[in-house]
Amino acid sequence: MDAQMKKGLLDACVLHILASGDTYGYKLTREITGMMDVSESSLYPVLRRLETQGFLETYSTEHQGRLRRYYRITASGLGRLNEYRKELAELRRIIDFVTGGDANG
Amino acid sequence: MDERIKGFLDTLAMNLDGLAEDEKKEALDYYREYFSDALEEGADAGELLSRLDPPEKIAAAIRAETSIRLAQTDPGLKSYSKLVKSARRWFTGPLSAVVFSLLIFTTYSIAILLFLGTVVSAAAACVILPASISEAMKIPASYPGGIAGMIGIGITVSGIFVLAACGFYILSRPLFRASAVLVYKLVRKGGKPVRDTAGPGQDVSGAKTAKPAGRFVKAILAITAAGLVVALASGLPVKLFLIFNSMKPADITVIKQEHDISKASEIRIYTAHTNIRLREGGPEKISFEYEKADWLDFDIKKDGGSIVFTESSNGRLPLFSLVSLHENRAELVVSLPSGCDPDKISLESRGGTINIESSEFPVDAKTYTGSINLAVPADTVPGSIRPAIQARTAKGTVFIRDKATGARTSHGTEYESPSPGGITIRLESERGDIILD
Repeated sequence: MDAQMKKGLLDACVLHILASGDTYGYKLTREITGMMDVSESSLYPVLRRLETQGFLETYSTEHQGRLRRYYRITASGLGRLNEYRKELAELRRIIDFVTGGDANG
Repeated sequence: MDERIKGFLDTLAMNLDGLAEDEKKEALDYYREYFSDALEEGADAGELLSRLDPPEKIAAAIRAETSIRLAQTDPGLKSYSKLVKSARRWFTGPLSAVVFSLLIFTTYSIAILLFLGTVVSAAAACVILPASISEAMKIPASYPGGIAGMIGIGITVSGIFVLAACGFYILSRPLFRASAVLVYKLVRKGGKPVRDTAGPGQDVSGAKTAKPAGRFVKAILAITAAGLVVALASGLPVKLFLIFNSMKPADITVIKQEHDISKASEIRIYTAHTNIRLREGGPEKISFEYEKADWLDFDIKKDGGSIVFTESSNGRLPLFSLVSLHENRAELVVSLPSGCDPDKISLESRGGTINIESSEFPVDAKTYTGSINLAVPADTVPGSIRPAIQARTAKGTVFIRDKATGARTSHGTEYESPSPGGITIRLESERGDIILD
């Protein structure tokens, strides 16, 4: 898949997962790598960027004597997710058109 | 923790060097936590590591992400690249290269000047602090206030210079970065492809010092403020201010002494920076009326036919050799009995002014920075003795003031008037003016 496209989709995936509940880095990575072919280590820069863009925020809780950082989606993150969903719906129509045409042709 | 994981984190940390401290910590915390969570959930360390990219590659990705983000969030840089973009639209071809080169030259020049300001200010701070401490150490231990005050002044002044250095440095940084961006734009315009990660904001290290620098500035501010408080509490700055502006100092004790001079053949007066006023007084005795400031000592010696008055510093006032170039507005009034005729009367002051109110005595007056005023009786006064006057100044001016109008006419650096009377008054000043009334 094209790297640029993958990047956009990765953002959307992260926001989507966080929309259904706060989670921490490792768990988030497992969920995403289970669905997309991305390197397990490539998620950190994405999370950091989304955080500085204000789409998500972090907080730490104690877990077995150490701190575990959780990620939580913000209101503007939810807004961005909705935009992604609209864009992806449009993309789906294009995909349907292209792949459907192929099947019918 | 597994050795391999530890190695991974160490390599990552090494490759993140140069990034802002908090960025680096954030990233390392993330991966450390990641490993803890993975191992806790039963992952095998070797297998886990094989799924991850090599730490060098991860570090590169983090750096790239950080630099893009910095380029986007730094408002100065953003508007600057906007400006550059619009400039590029207006100028094309060789002209744009010229404009770019000029812009680059300008920004670099200013940045380098600011950087020089940083170096000079820092150097000044490095010189002033030890100098003021060594000056403070010269003050006798019996004046602890003066010692603390001088050190306080040194800390304050050098602190201000350090802050100035910080300011210059902070100002120079975005200019250096802007210059780098311009060079990049120029090169890219020339058709050379440059990878995205090496783009604007490449100089990520700029952000590195942001947080510690803020803490440093705060610390210096606190130290400077503390120095200022100590200095002000000691009262020393006020005293120095008064003296440097030739205002009358506080803490003045008036000392009066009279000495018989019927046999005196020589009178010598020396003050560091107290003004000397010579006037005619009562019969047979010379009287000293001395406004003594608390940082000065005096000594009157009678030795055979001579009376010598000497003023000196008691060590309490720092920077005395500098301070004493300014008159202190306190006065030593020397009254001589009318008609007294010692062989020699010499008045000398380094920074003070000398006022000679009577032209009846043969006087040698000498100053370094102070001025000399001599009242000469008008021609019209019958029977008045007109002394011969020799006035000379190296860097000042000799003026003759008209008594009626007060207007002063300049006579250059030397003036001489012969006299039938036989009395000669010699006035000599290195830097001060000489005014003849």
